Amino acid sequence: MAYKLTYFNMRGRAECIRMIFAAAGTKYEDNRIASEDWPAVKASTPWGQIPILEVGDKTLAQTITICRYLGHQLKLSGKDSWEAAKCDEYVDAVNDLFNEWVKYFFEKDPDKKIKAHADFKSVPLPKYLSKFNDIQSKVDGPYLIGKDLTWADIFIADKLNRLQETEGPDVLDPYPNLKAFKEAVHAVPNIKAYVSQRPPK
Amino acid sequence: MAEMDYKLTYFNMKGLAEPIRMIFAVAGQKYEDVRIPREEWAQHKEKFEYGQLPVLEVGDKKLAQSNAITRFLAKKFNLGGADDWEAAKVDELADVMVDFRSEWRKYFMEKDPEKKEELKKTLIETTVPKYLGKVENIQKENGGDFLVGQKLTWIDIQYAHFLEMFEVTTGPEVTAAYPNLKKLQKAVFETPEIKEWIDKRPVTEF
Repeated sequence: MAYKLTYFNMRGRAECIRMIFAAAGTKYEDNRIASEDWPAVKASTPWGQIPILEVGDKTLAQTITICRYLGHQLKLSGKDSWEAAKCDEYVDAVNDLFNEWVKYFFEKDPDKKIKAHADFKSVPLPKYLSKFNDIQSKVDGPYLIGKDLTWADIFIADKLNRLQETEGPDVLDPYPNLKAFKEAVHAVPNIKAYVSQRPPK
Repeated sequence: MAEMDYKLTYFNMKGLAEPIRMIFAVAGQKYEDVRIPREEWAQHKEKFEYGQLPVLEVGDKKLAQSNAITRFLAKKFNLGGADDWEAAKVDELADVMVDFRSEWRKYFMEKDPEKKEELKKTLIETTVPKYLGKVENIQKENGGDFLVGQKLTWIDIQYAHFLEMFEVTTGPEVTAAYPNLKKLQKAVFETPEIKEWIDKRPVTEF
């Protein structure tokens, strides 16, 4: 199966996809495009956005859809339909948090950004981190859903890593189960090996 | 599964739960259709994951997030696409609808009348063609009534319903330029089990 991932030369939205491939030990073409090439690539994508995943001669768009598809193909989607559904639920919830982060992080007006950042830290950030800390505390094992690593664990751990980069490494300290979860995902041998050699940012 | 094994909780409206109710209808699956009055929400909110609805209970287990619920039930009831690839193309369209709804909400939630008019203009002239224009082409190129594959999937149900909600809240101009999307709506709403549900469901504005 020929997999080709197209995204910018950065981590951003595609990094969770790269980590899923790494976890599964699956080869793929990691097509990183330069900014000046973006307009031409954009016109060829289904929705004018990247990442896109080419599977043979077919194309799939939308980050979470790509993660879920690969999660299923590469046996990283839980042991049954219920666990697969919990993967979907948790990723959608964390994606809601991530959308709040995007709103503040990419705010151009400096004064609005300061306020947006304060709002982010006071409401959605603690709401979701404490919720997921609680979820993890009830799981028998290091992950969020079941005994085995899932694409949702990878997606969420990558987002937590991003939060530590922008909010400071101690942002997870009040949430010890969640912090341990993030570290456990990044300690998975295939993921650890990938992370140690991936391009910075 | 017996009736009480599935329990769907939402507000007394169609909204995000309606595609889920339509899936139960097509599947001929009984379920408890719990509708919380808005004025009682504050006292119930903390009982629900993320403080949000809809929530699906299956036996003693709970599932949240409308698309996670919709996809779970659709797969169970053969409305998830014929294979893994079709399921992924369905998911792709669901993600697109999430993006479109998020743009639409900016217009819908705006209170200032002048700004609202401006946002509506942007919505109709730019956002709608950008998203729905492409879905119109997907429907056309797929041939037949549906968006993905040759039979009804949850994405057909979701688009048919949400498009109707946009028409009701924003205006018929949202879908006026898209005969294939109208064709899709007709096919969904005339599916016998869905038609029967529409005829007997509680009447609510949204």
